Amino acid sequence: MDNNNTYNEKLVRYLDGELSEAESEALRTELESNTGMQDELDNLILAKDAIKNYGLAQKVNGIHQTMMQEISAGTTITKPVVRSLPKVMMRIAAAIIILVGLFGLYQYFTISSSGLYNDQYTAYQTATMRGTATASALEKAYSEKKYDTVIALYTQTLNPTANEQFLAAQAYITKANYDKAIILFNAIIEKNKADHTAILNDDAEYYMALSYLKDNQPAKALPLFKKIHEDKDHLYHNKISSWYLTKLKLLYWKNN
Amino acid sequence: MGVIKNYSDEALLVAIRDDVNIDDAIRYLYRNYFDGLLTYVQNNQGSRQDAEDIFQESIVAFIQLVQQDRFRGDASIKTFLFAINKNTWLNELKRRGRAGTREAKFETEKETIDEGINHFIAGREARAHIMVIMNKLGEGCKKILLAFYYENLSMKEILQTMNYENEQVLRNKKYKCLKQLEQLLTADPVLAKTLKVALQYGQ
Repeated sequence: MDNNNTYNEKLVRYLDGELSEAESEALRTELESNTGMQDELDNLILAKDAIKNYGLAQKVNGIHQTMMQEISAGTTITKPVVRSLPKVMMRIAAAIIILVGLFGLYQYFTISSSGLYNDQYTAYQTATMRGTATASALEKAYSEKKYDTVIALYTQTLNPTANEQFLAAQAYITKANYDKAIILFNAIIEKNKADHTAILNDDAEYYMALSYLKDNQPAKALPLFKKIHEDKDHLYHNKISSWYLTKLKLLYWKNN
Repeated sequence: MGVIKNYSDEALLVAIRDDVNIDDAIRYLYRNYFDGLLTYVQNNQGSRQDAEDIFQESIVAFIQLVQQDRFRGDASIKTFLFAINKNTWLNELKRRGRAGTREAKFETEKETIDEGINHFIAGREARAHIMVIMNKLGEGCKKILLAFYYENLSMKEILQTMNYENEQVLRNKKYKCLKQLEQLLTADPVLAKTLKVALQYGQ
């Protein structure tokens, strides 16, 4: 094997890509006829490949040490930060679903007829209380919050007006006699149907729904509240939100 | 901990082939495939240390095969890496003589991957010998040769990190180091021939 230093240096420069194109071409021609030189070049290529192999093995070894620590610590299981947008979206969606689920469960277990009733109920105020003119004895008694008197006067009245009937129903509510209140509200609604009128009809529907609710009959309250929610002209439309209806449905499912 | 990068198979191959952020690519391989391959080795007469060594070796082999364009993505990276790891481990078992009674089974268990790749795996002992030879070089020589031939730094860049008078002095030193390595590698002609096959197969 010829180890002449001059061509050795030239071979290294060839290996390192430092020869011009013309010099490289001349060297390649020389290599074809000089096996000793070709062997030397092969050995240099071997040395270069060995260095690359060693460098890569060292690099992987360095990373290996840190990765073993990371894997032992269990941090790979969580794979904390991911750049894949679909995965991020899916994780956010999953988190939202879990939160909604937890919130739903909370609502489910805490919801009650009384709670939903208290959210809505406010005592009905008569026109007199609002400052208008003449009132009957029953209306006067109601404005003075003498509910027993209202009920007594109502039972003595042979032909009560719709307003007296309605106030008597309200008095029954204050006495927690929801059955009687419902009968009177229903009577007002039926009479309006028969007479093609709408005297206190929206009020009767709303308070009848509340009475059913308080009486723990959400199956009967729900269609009435739904009707009020869907009827934009209903006097109590704005009081019944979609969320309130959802809670009513939840109560219905819970009770059935 | 910094941001952990995820790769598609295609993006991972590009990163390895083009040597772009290859450290991230290697970490990705560890995070996604080490556990599965650890289980395989441990279920086949290996310890955890065996599994770590074999995986490390498989990663080096995988990168070299990708950079030599011997893996073009016909199978998934997971399948290919598993095949390398499995065949490397079976090769190691055979070397240790622990596959003796199950020699026939050993051959049938081998993953059917490209014959050239099996040949590459078979050269692992020769490649392991490179570690021994490289460690016979002085630290200065190793640093210069690695910087120039592995990290592809210019002489000017290397000069900035080392204490040499000028670029020519550094160039002379590099030449001497390379010749020294060449002599170490070719001192045993049989080993030199085996190494050439192990390192350059398929190139």
